[in-house]
Amino acid sequence: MKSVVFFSGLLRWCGLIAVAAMVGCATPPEDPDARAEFEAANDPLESLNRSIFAFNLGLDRAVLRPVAIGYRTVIPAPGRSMVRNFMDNLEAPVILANDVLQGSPDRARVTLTRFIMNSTLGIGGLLDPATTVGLAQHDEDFGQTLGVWGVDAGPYFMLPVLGPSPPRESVGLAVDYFLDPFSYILDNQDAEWLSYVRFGVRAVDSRSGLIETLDEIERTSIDFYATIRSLYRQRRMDEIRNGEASEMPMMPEITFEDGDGIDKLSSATE
Amino acid sequence: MIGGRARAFLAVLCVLPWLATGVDAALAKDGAEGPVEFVTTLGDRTIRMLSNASLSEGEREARFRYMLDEGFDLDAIARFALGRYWRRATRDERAEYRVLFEEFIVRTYVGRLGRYGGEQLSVVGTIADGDGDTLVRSEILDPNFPPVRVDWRIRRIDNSYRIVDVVLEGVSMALTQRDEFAAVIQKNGGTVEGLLNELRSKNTGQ
Repeated sequence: MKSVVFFSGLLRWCGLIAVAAMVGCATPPEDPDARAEFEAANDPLESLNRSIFAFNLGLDRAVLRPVAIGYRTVIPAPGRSMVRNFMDNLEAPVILANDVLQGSPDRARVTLTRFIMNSTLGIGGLLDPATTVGLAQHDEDFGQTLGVWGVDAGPYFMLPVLGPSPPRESVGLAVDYFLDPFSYILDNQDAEWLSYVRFGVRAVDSRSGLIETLDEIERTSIDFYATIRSLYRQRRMDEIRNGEASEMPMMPEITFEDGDGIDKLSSATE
Repeated sequence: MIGGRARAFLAVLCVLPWLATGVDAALAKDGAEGPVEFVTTLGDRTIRMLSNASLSEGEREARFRYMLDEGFDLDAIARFALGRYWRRATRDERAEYRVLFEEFIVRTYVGRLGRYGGEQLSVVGTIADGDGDTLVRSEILDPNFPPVRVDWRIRRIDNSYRIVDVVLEGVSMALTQRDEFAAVIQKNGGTVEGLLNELRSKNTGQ
């Protein structure tokens, strides 16, 4: 039942993207600098993406942000950290599978130990004793696994409600759904509504930790959409590298006649 | 599942010490002492200077400007943030951009820094890049929150050091700025003047 809903949803998105690709795809500019910038942005559906971003922003202001503020006001910090711990613990099987798929036995061991410890000593995942003994939480998903395997993110896509979802991350999301034992359990119990609850709680929990940060970024940026696009890509690359410093490659596409090495100032480029 | 719980718990106890070791010993003590001291001194001074609650807005901003001039290579950062359009900009545009950029940075960050205080900066290692820059990796520790990873890209200029980039949890401030400016220039028909306009109104608007 759940899978049917999931697939019809997925098909609808594919249809939408196909239509968008036909009507909205911008042609690359003639000017060499503009063309280089166009290619670097890797956002051929930019004007459509900007509209969807504006829609998401409206939805956030009307619903998610107020709910997140209410949640943070009403539930005291210990309660909120229990919610977060519980949600993190539910994700452990997917993280473990991706640790293994990325060939990281050490990280897989941490995830497995955390899951066992927090599900038992941590009272079904409400507490996080594993972190206090030095086994900190880390995140993995199949989008990251594909990144580790060398798959490019592909062009930037903005989906309604779900936010930035380039092809690699959309595929990742679908695969994670099938890697997750809890989706099967909820499906078999005819309790798929619980997965919507889970999605909602996750969204409110994440949003409540970013209220000031996002307000501040929106207030200080000239182009909020472009800033979020840049932040999103850099964060994903950092997650794929598991926080290791990047290789600092040169940026040969940018040169200056008064060549002062500035072109290698930073490194994260896709 | 319930029956296995005790055994699982024992297994956890056995592997824990082995899992937890080896992290602390990894800090590099050799190599670039200079950049590390530069970052810790600047970090301590900044935290001390900004966590003083009795400062007025104006004083806080003046101190922030001082720290920016002392600690950062703003010429290099401004040029990097303009990306490929630096070449296109006229001499006058470059000069005005440089002034607007600094103002923009002050307005962007002075408010954010105002909220810090009570945190500790702890250097966790350094990575030398082939061309003389050093990446000083640090964590900002706050007893109530998980540590925040901050990397400082340090360049040696004559006999002093200057920060050329700050990377927060993998997000480079310089690159983010460059991506944003590039989008603004694109939206304004590929002209640097378009960006200058937006910067002018942003700087005076708030």
